[in-house]
Amino acid sequence: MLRIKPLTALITLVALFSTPTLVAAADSLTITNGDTVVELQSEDVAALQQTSFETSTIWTEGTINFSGPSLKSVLELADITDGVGTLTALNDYAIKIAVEDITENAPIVAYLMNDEPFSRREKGPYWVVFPYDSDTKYQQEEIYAVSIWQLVSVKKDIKESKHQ
Amino acid sequence: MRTRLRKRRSRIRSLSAMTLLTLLVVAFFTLLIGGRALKTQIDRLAVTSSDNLGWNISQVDVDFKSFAANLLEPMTPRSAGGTEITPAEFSKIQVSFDIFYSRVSVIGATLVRIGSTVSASDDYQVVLARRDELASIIDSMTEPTTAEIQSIFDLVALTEPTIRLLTTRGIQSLSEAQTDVREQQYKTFLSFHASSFIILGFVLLSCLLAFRLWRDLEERSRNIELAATNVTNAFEAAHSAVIFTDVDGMIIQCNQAATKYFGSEDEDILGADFVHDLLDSTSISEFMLYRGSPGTHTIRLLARSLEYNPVSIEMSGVWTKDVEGFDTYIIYLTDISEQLAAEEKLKASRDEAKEASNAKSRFLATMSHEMRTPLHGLIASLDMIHSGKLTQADQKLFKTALECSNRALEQVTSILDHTRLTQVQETAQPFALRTLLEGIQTVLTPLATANKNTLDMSFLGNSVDARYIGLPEAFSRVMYNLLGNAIKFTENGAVSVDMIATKGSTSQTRFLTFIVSDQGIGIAKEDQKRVFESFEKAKFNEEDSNSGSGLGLAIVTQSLKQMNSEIHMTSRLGKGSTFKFTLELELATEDESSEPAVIQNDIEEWTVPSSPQGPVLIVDDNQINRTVLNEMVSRLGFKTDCVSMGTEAVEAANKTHYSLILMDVNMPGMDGYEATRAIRDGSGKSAETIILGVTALIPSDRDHSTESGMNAMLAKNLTADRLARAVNKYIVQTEVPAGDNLEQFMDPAIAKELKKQSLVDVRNAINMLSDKSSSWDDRSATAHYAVGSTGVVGFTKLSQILIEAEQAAKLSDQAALDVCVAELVKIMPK
Repeated sequence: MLRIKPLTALITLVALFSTPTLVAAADSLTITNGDTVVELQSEDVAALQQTSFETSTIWTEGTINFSGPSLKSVLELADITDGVGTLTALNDYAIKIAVEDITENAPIVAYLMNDEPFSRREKGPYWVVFPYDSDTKYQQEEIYAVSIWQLVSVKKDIKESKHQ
Repeated sequence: MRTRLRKRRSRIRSLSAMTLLTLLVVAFFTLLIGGRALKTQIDRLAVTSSDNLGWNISQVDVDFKSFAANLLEPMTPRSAGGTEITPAEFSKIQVSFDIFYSRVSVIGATLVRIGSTVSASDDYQVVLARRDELASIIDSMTEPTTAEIQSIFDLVALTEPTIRLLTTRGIQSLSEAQTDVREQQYKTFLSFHASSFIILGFVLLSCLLAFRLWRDLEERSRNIELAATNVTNAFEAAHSAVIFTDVDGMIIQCNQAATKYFGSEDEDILGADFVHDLLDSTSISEFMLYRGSPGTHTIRLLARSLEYNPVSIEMSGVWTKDVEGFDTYIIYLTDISEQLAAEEKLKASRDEAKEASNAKSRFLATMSHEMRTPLHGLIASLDMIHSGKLTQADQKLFKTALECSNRALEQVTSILDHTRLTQVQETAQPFALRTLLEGIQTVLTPLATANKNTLDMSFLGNSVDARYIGLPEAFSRVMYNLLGNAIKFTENGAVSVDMIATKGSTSQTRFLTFIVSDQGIGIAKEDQKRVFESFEKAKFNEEDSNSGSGLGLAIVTQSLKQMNSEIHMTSRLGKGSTFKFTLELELATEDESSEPAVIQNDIEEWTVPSSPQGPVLIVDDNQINRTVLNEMVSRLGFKTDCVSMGTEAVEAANKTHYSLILMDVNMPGMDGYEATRAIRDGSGKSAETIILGVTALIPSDRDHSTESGMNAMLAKNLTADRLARAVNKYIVQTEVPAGDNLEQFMDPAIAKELKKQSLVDVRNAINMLSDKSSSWDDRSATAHYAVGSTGVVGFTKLSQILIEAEQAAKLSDQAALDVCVAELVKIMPK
């Protein structure tokens, strides 16, 4: 489920608190693993190993070619290889995901649609996308819930907490 | 009936199985299709219902309000920059607008996807237009003033009702779509439910069928088991041994009987080699031959049990294939040791019985033969007694004695005939039936005359005179017996024989029908069948002097059987009987033997070599016969020599020239034939002499006699009369003065008296023969009497003429008779 709450993206290099903060700077992605905080700009994202596929989504019309690094590779930047991560959107929508459920190729953190960067108004700049058309297993409630757009941060949960 | 029922049941069974299979297949596919349809449906529902569209739509309102709130915030006096718009505040406005913006795009796509008309509605278009308008206003701003923000807010306030309306309609439309989906889902479930019921029905039906099939199979297997048990029981309980062997002869299965026959106490025969372990070496090749050539007959072999006890078996075998297709030889065998023993015993007792029967026949034949010799002597002796000298009363007794002895001889002869009939088989030869019949007529006429009967014969058809190939002896027996009976049982009547020749079944054969009729006492209906059986006589008056041996008709039947014919009789009590039989005989070709027919009671006719007068040699082992023959021959005026053995006869014949040899055929040591052969082969003085065989069994001895060199045969019922005829026939006698010799061996007074009496008889005969008013029979009878009388005393010339006269009288030939009478008168001493 996508939830969007009014929230501003804030670019911080080091965040001591895990609570989302309104930030003025746009288009950055923060990965947090305990004390390790990695902040990615769009060029950092572009530098990562790219995966792309064509698919339709239930939120758009027609098929779109999505490109971007895999979520897995993005998490690995902050050494997140297990446990549970929380993905947060610009509107404070947050969703938990078990890291072990993340595969090599799906989902990706798309930052190109049809080879073009896309704006906030078009659910950019980062959108967690699965190749929905390729398999019915990607046409499930849980998958849709994880397909978070206007992604601003990923953070590994310190405590093995259960779902909110 | 049962088979048809079974067939029908089997058809029903296979039909059930097919139906069951079909039902299960149908059920499977229905389930598969139903299940897939359901899954597809559920999947589809899962996909559509996977996002909370309602929430998504309602979020438009939330996002819109958030945007509106962010607009209002800088304008409140308590804000950070008072009524001034700080860059942070403007940024927040931008972000919240962008969120709203993207939200509108999302619900647009969502509405299109669920096919809602709302996406095309004015409200949505208005919202879309306002959003884009707001976007261009915001994008044009860098440092907005309160007034500018206020103007944006006014526009937002203006849009709010439309947003709410859109949200409401969207949710409504969504819920409608979801209702559709639910209805569709409901329908899917309903159809799945229905198909489930159908499947359930199928399954239930299948269960029912399966149950029926199961029950049926249960019954079948029970029946099969029952049948198998029966077969096994029959197999095991069979008295016969049943053994299954493989191609090599190894026993692979057998029943208890087989084990009982062949097994030993501690070993059964399974696995044994039937051929080499159980068969006796003498039987192996026969078994192999039998096994190699399929047949249905049984063979008898000798087998040995494992303990080497011999077992005689009778076996049959059949090749078959077992369930796996291997050749199997099934042997059925029975222990026939006991049966064989019984058969042997039976055979032995049969042979014994046969031997006993033969012995009886031989005994009868011997008895009859032995009885005939004294009877012959008796008759011959009586014959020679001159009854004229007896008193009236004695003459009557004498006559009775003569008749009795004749009847006794007749009976003995017929018994002999009968016993011989069952032992001797005659060979076919050519003979003239008519001649034979006429001969019989000649012989029987005196008998007929004695009973005051006439004996006539008539011959009808072209071929009655022809010679035929047949059994003259059998034919003679038939006629003698039929005519003998006819004459015996008729008095003052007529006995007739009709011979009718008609076309045969081929050009070479003729049907010859003989009808013998008499006017005698007849045979009662209830006796008619019985009289043809041995030793059976019709119930005549017990006192009847004519009763015979009871063999006559049995002999007839037997003899006709030898000629492939049978007798037919019609008879009426008191009116007479008619016997009829038909022979089909082949015509004899001309070049075949033209020997005259044999006539039992007469002499065969051969050419007689002339021979000077000399003594007569009498050869007979029997004292009585010798004496009687000696007496007879002496009375005929010959000197005699008597010997009792063949060797003596040969010796005598070599030394002395005899004018005649009377040779008994049956003698111990060298018999008559051998003696005759020896005489003929030698160069003795009598090598060329006439030799007459004397025998009781003329016909069957005929071949022997001719081959041995005998001139003719005399039947042993030899009376003085018949001997005289024979001697007259064969020996051309120089005239011997009447009575010259008689005195030599007889008291002269008696001799003189005999001669006197004899001459009286001749005169009586001449008178009778000359008397044309007297009957032919009477005349021939008188002549016959005189023949005997003259013959005995040695008036041979007279005797010879009297024979001719008798013959003439029989033929009713007046002219010939006149000649004879004239001659007699001329010769008669005055």
